[in-house]
Amino acid sequence: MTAKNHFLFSISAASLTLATVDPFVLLIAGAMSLLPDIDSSKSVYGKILFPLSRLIERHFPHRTFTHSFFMTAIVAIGAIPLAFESKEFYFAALIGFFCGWFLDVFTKAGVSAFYPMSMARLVIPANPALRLATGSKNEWFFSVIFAALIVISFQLHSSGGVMQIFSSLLAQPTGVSEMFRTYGQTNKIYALVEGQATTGNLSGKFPVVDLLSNDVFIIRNSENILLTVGDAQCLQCHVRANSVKGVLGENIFIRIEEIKLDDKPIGKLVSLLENESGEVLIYGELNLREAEDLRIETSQLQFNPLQISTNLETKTVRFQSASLEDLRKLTKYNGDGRLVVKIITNL
Amino acid sequence: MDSITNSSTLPENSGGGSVAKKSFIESEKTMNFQTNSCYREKEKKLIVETLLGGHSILLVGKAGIGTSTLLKFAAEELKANGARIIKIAPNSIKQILISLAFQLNLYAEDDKLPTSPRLQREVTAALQNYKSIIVIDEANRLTVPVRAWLEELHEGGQILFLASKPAMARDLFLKLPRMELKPLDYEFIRKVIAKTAAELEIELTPADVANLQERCGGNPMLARRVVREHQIGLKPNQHDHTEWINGTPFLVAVLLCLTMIRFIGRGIGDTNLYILGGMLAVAASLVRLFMFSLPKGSSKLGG
Repeated sequence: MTAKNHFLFSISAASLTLATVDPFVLLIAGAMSLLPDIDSSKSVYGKILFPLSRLIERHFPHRTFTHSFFMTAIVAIGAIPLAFESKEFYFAALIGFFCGWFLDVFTKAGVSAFYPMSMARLVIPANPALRLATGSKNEWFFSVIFAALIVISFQLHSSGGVMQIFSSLLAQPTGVSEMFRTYGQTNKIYALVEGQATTGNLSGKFPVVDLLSNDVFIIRNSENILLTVGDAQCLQCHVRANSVKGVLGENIFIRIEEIKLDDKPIGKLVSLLENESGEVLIYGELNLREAEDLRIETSQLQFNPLQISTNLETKTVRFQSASLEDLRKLTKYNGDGRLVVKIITNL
Repeated sequence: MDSITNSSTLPENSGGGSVAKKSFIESEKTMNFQTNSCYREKEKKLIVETLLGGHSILLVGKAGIGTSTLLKFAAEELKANGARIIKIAPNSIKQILISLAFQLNLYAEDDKLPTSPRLQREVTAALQNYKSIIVIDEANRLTVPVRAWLEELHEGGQILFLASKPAMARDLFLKLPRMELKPLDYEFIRKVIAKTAAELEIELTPADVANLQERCGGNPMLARRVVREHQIGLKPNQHDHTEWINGTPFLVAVLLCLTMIRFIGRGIGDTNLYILGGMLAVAASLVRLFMFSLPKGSSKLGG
């Protein structure tokens, strides 16, 4: 294979396997792909490092020592200092070097991949008539394929990666869950939902509030009501989605605070949180005394962020994805317990 | 008489030509261009010791790997050690018997020869009295009656030294201790290339040598051929040596490992990964089907 094809193949392989479009990383892979051909004084590196290439030429046939797993292992050890700088650089160097010589197994001559154990040449496929002649016109065909792979890889990674695109194609809740797990700390995630809610068909773009499981998540509808969304077989879900796709939204900053209440008025906490500029989500559990009159309406048609259970003298309120509005319902009571507050601000 | 030689039997060793007239590159000036270089001293020593010790040996190697050359060098060494050598060409049994009858002085040129069975008995008896080593190159071309006769001789204590291309494991070939010649080391192939280039009075750069070596592997006959091809400006893409490892099963195995993604997806409950893994497994199976349905090339040199 020509240097051009080694370069293109290594870049595409590094981009696809490392899921990156970082030009520096890809440049390392491309540069390393040309290194195995240092055993020829006519190659790029062979000309630059002529004494070394001439030395190798005097002792080894072309595509033997430098085109082997043994040499790859040496490079893997020799490139370890690169790993201290960046693991991506290190793996790019390894992938680049490996792809640099491995592509030659598809040529007529093959490579002595198992040097020094065997000098026999590794080839794919076995029939020499089906292998490529170095420098032949057919190489253009492969150049086009490798270039196309690079373009596809760039497109994939700039659109969120292979899994993201695949998830989007499948349009299943797991895709949104995966997106929320991956980007939920830095971006607002929206779900484009088409499905059946308990009240009728539901269609539209809704913000994802939280995950309940790998394939069930919570959205907030236009009436500020929380609904759980699952696939078409999820009977417990409020929305059974036929199609649901994740959409990456605006950048956000999330601050998490743990608040401990020792029989303190919840009203104070509400006042405190009202000063926060972002959206507030509350998780945790509070015990309320003298709250016999506490009544919170729950509905099977929506996700209830507050769940109340009654003990002997106290009432326990469990919070999940509760908003400040939900907390206001408890303003007049004193609470005892710990809450985790997630404050989400747009950047 | 120390040896009886059928002069038409052994091919000339093209590696044993005249002294190099011109060194082909500066660095190779120090290279030892011996005439009649064997390059397989270790094997030669073992063969000579085995035969002088009264044991037979079958030398086996692929076409061009150097069995005839080694046989010639070993025969010369045996002669030098005082052994009697009888070289036989792989002809029909009648031709071989007549040739041996004349060489063993059983009959003169003008004598009327007896029938083949009688001649065979007489030659056999003469060989038993005449302690010698029978040397046969290209033993794979021996006919069944000759092999049967040689087997009989061998069982009677006759020492045989046969060189053959990879032959079927049967009768005589099965009984003789077998030494299989491996491809020559690249160091020696460089010497063969250097010597051939010197004989042809052409200059080769180290880059040329490295490229030519790529085409001939460890086969000295091919090494000489590629230099001649280089001399006349041919750059054939065909690589005739047989030192290949088919990487297709390795590639397919690696691709089939993608099937694991499916199980990982299932294990961690990721439907997308499960489906993607399933699709990749199908793709890998299709590649496997395609790769194994490709026509297979011959793995034998010269056929």
